[in-house]
Amino acid sequence: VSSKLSVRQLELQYRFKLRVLDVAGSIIQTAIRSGTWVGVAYLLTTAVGRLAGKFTFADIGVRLLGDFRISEALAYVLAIGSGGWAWKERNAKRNTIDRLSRRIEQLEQQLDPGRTSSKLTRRGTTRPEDVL
Amino acid sequence: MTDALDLVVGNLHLLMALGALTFLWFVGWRGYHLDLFRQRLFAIRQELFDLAARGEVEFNGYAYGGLRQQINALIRFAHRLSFLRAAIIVTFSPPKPQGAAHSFESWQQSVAALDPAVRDRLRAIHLEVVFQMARYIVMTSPLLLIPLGIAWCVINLVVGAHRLRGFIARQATCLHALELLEEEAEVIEMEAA
Repeated sequence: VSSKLSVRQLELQYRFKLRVLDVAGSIIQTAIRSGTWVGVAYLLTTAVGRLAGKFTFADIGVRLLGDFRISEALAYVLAIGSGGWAWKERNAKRNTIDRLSRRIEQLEQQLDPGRTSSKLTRRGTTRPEDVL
Repeated sequence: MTDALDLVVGNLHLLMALGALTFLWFVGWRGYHLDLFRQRLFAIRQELFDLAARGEVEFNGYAYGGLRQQINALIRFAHRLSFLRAAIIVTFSPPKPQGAAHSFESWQQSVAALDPAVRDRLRAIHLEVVFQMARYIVMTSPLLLIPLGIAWCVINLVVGAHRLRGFIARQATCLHALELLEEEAEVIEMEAA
């Protein structure tokens, strides 16, 4: 009994260490993302601070649009188009997952009624409680 | 004064470009690959379920249950999977205690006891899961994607160039053979004349 208990304790310790590493990874990832947004906010506030009381939004808007090159505009159109295509594809994938999960759920209820919940959403999206 | 405006407009251009890049990376590329990964895992899970539904593997056995649980966990936490996290866990994780329940070793043991054909099928399904996971990590990590993408392009260029050279050499051999045939035909014609 004691050896079984120690194996269980070791297993729990192992799981705890893995969880700590996972949290550490999560913190580093969040720090990188947050750092990027802080940098962006810094750029924005610097820009706004330099222009405070000197120029109107219209001045900036006109200059911003006037500075646009055709190649830049094309790059933005391409970026928006690619993003839109990716969004459409993602929806198609989620519809496929929905179809697959419905079929498997029906069959599992007939063939394997004792199974536990898989805790997955029907469309394969991230559950709000699993986000972090 | 216009210098300040130039600087601000430059900053705004940079911000817009960064915003577009962020949108493309997180919503477009990364999001697309997340859904693709999950869809493939669902398809693999269905394949596994079909195997059990045909009676080739037991629903209550760990060979089926363990693999199903692994696939479900990957589908559920796929959004957390990244090169950075994988690298941290692989580098710093302690060795798994001997005799621990639900380990890969116990899954392998339960699979080893099955019929060879089913055993191979289950191992192939497991391998496919691992391959899809590795593919997802590579595709969503710029650190891996850029060098591996360049390597992939270089390898394809080298292989393509090698094939093209082989094709040209084969065509040249055919042309040479045709020339010889024509020469032979001319000699025969002259002799006949």
